[in-house]
Amino acid sequence: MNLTSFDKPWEKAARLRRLLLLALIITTSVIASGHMADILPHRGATRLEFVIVIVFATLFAWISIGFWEAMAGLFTLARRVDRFSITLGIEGDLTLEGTGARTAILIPVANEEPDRVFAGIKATYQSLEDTGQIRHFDFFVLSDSSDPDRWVEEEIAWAETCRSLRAFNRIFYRRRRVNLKRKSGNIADFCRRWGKNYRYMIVFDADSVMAGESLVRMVQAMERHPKVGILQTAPLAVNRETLIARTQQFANHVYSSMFAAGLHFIQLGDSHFWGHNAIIRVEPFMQHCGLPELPGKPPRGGFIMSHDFVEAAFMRRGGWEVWLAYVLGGSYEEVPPTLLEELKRDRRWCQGNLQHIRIAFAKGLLSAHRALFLHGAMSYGSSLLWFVFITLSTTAAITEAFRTPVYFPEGRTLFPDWPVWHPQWALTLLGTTAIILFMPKLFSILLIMFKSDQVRKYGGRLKLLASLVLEVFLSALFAPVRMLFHSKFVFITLLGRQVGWGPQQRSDLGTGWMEAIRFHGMGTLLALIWAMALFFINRSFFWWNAPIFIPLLLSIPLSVWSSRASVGRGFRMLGLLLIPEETEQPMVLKSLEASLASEHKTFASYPEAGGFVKAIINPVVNAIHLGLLRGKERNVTQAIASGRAGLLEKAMSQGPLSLNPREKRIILYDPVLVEELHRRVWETPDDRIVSLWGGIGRH
Amino acid sequence: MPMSRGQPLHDKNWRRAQQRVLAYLQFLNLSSVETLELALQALNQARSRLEDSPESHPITESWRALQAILAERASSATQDLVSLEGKLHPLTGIHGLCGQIQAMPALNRGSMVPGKLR
Repeated sequence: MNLTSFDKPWEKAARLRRLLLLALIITTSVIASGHMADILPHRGATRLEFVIVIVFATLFAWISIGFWEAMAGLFTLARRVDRFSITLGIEGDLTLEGTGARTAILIPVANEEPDRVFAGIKATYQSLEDTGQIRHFDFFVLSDSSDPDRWVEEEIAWAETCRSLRAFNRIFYRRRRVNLKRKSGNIADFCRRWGKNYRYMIVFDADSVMAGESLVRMVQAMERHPKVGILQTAPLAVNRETLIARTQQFANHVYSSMFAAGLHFIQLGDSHFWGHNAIIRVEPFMQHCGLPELPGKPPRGGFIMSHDFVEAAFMRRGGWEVWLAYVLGGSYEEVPPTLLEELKRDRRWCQGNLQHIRIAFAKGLLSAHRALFLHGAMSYGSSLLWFVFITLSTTAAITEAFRTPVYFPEGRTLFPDWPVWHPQWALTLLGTTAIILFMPKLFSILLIMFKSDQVRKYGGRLKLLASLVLEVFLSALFAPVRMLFHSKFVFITLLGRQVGWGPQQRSDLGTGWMEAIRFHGMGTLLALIWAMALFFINRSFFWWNAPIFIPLLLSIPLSVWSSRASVGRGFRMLGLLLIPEETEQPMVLKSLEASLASEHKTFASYPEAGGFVKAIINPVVNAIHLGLLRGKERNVTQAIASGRAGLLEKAMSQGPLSLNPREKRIILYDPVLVEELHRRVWETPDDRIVSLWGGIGRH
Repeated sequence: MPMSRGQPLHDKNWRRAQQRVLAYLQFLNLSSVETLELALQALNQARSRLEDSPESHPITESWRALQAILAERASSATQDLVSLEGKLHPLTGIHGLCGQIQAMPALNRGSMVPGKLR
């Protein structure tokens, strides 16, 4: 199938809407840039000022995209009717009978906390069971974990979950030996092995949770719209307790519905895929969404890091639609608990998004998706532009302070050239920028205010307003810190340096002072030098920039303080930054909480030991591990066999602490070694060996 | 049961053997009665075996005897992994898991070829 003609109603509407959006963005940006030029001493006539105006225009265009999208969302939500909504018409019976549609729920993990991952699976499974439609779904935990302890812990958690839910042969676990292409490769591997068994797959993140009803509705929507290849939900952020995460959760709940409606208004069937909490039609995915490697070395070349946008673009290129189900609830995720964790994640995303610039100009893609690639790159590129803007304007301010004014430049002129500073114009421009940035937030609050049942869930009108003020204040504090880091990430990526792709810390552990000093020390120093320079050279410009350098100067305590769960809980007790899921917890989240709190784990006895030691010592874990290795025995060369025999002796004589992760993995991969080590540790009369393995005989 | 018979060294080793067997059985989440019954059986069998091969050690022989008993029980009992109460059957489970555990469905291979970017 080839998409060359735009004959569908949504495609016509999308074209008109995008043209309108473009016109609005250009108009507002041109007007604002004109004002910017006017307030500069030479009205943009010098080279430096000209560059400042250009950078400002780009930044203003960037923020006005968000503003106009939000206005489109407001229009959609206020109208209460959306003829293009993909979830229209699926409000009937919650059943998949007669469809013949089987759906795989995929949970790709890589060194995540197994307890949290499987608690999410359990909650989702039970919620699906409550709908009576569980027989249409299978779960697949697709592990890329390289940590040997995590590997075994995952196996234990899998067996525990299957046992407690009686879900053997319904919840599957697979661990890849070679983690080729990371998450996208993991999903592609699933497709190649079992994709033909399923019409749909729903991809989760390690911290995703979804209500059973939403999962069934997603399948129903896909059945109703056979041309839809990907249907993305708008996940809500929940379950965090630190201040920064609760701020993000609040912002996500209050503003995201309007922004998501706006995105839908503009994109329609050319929407995003965010990589999780989305349903995918497997057959076209397998046909069109295999990801190539880009020529060159990482980070610019190599395998595609942020795969989701590319998969959506490929799906569209293959003639399938990609939609955002912005009104479908029951889709949840968790945000990073600390600023540092958020920045670590952003560093990876930044690298992935900048790689998309290359793909944006590839042949055969639709212009809507090219725009999405550039939009993704600008999410981080805008920070660098902001940094450049501040640097240039500071340079201009300092230059102006040292410069002797030339009232009568060369050439004939009727009037002297007065370098004029119009603070009232600057204030007008500042006010306009503030409107563009904050008006959507105000409208979002108003939308909630008109719904009394919603207001109650946010703690009432007064607390909702107070939370808004607090969120705006905290966002303003965090913005310069994020800007500085994002600029650094973009700069580093452009230099061609690669970043690691480690696991995310998903629990509410705070940031320590030393860690904060290590991360924010340079930024604080930079801000101090900048502020001092402005203070002594151009006092008025110093005050204009105070909202930027003060947060940077405070970034260390800000990072530590905002990472504390106790601070977040304190605000919750005051009824601030509340989200509806905190006031009225949905069943699926209750179930998640109960599962995380449950300490009854039959196989997880011997809790002080790591997963590797459990696999050797605990007979049940040992049996589970051997069971999962079944069929993976391989013939090895004499050299490898003797190396493994040596490893066995090392493990016996020096204990598990003497083994590095690679050696532990070699043992765990070899059923003979696992069985032999289990036997020898248990039957040895040597107390020294027993104590090396945790003193098993003394239990 | 005449477990205390023999040299003092043997008594100490037999106590250690008893501890080792009990520690192993603890992991299986059996009832106390069943745990003691199995431990006793294993230690008795070990004693007889040790008479045949005196160079061996009570700990080694007890654990081997316990393995033999567990394997025997597993083969004669039901192979259901999960009981009606949702509990993993302790004896059949441990050995049955190795043989029956189904972490993945049967393969049904398809192809997914990387797309092209020009």
